[in-house]
Amino acid sequence: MTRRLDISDLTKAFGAAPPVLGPLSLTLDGEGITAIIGRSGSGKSTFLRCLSGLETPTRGTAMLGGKPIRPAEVGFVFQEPRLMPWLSVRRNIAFGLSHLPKPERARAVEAAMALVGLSAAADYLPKQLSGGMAQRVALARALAPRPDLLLLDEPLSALDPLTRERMQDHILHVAQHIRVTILLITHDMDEALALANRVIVLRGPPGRIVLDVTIPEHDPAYAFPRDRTSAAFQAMRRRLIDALEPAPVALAR
Amino acid sequence: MAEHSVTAAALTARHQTAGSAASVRRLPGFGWSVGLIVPIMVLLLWQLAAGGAWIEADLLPSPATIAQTFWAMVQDGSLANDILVTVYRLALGFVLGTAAGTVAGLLTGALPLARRLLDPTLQALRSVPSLAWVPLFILWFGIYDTSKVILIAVGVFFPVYLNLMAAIAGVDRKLIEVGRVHDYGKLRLMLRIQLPAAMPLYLTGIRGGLGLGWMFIASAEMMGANNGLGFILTNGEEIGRPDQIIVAILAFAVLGKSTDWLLARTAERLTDWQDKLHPETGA
Repeated sequence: MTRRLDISDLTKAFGAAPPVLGPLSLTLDGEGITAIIGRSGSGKSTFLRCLSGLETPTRGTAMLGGKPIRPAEVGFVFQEPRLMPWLSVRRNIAFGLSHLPKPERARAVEAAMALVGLSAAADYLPKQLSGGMAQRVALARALAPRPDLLLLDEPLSALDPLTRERMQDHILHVAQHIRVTILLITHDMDEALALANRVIVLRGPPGRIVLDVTIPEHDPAYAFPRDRTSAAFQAMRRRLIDALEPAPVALAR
Repeated sequence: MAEHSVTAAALTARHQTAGSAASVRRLPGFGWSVGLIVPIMVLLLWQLAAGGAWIEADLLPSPATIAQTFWAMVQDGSLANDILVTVYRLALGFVLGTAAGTVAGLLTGALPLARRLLDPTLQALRSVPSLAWVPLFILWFGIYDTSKVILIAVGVFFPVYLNLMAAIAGVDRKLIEVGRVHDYGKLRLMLRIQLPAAMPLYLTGIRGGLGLGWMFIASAEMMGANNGLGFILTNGEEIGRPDQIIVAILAFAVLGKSTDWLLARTAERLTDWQDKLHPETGA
């Protein structure tokens, strides 16, 4: 069982400028993927960076299992792979494992590589990898320390459509095979609906939750892999679009 | 499993592309020997001109005379001796200058306060011409090796310092963030991200430093020495032996080029992870 993530009144402002995020409250209980969608400037990346410790929230708290989140409990995948170009795939994946004894570290790396299908590429350098493979290394690097919370900051947006779809399969595979709470940021509604069991729509600035829907897991219409052409999928998609883009009041007037 | 085989195939394909690109760049049958064409042509013309007495032998002796002088200096051991002395001074100055440049570069690169404090002064000192230091260093450290070694160290210091400072300060913020999400402290960020990332530029600085070291040692040895390649130069001028001067110049050229090549090769090995369009050995 994963630990509960409680976010309460989280607010972030940069300097004296008006806040870009919040106040935002949210509880995540259990495994699976929660997708956060929003337009540019809705504060979704800032939200994730506050959870990861890259930014310090101006106000509010984020607790994991009742305690403030520690960096060791969080895995983070950025928009770009951000691999260390001088390290092999294996050593990139071991990047967050230096506290472990060697045999344990090797086991954790092997497990993470197997999870994303990279075992054959262990000794290659980042310059020898395709974009999709590099992003899988980044995913494995985030997973290797066995985090409780995996934060994905638009990890697929730089990939071509075909690679993106295969990468979505990898993320789904991870969500189904290890115990981890996943927060996925995306601006792609279809991606959110194809992967998540909960979708949250942010609108801002300052970023606030305008829609929070739980996808009915036991409804056969939403069984994985999801049929993107089904009526249920399309209806849900419509709801998200409406939430992202409010009715153009100014024009109607 | 299918996933793995696809991965392996993709890697192989990428390797083949890289391999064929490399073979296109290399001209078959030539390689580094292309660089010899111009010197050989010049040498032939020069010998012809000297043989035809178109140039005065007192000012510019023929290549054959220079070769004889060279051989004589090899046989009596004087050339080897002077080369050893020069290389010894250069090596000491190089190590000293690199060490000082590394410490200063690390400090100013990592700590903005240190940069604001030290960099303006160091930049001002950088503009001082090498020869301007010589009288002061001779006063302070005497006429013997110490003053020469210090002068070389000054020459080596600046490129090492400047490149390392720029490299450390300019490490991609995105990579630093990867360290921060893995809970890296300042020291681990430095050791595991900033230093390796700074390596290519640092090595460029060291290479530049070595080049300046060779220039400074010529100045140092010409200002007051009784041995070394620089001494052969001034001595050749005093006793009117242009052949001796040219032998020393050629020795400087060969030694400078060889040590640079060695450093470039080492640098390339240390930074072969870089995704470069044209690997450059400097050969």
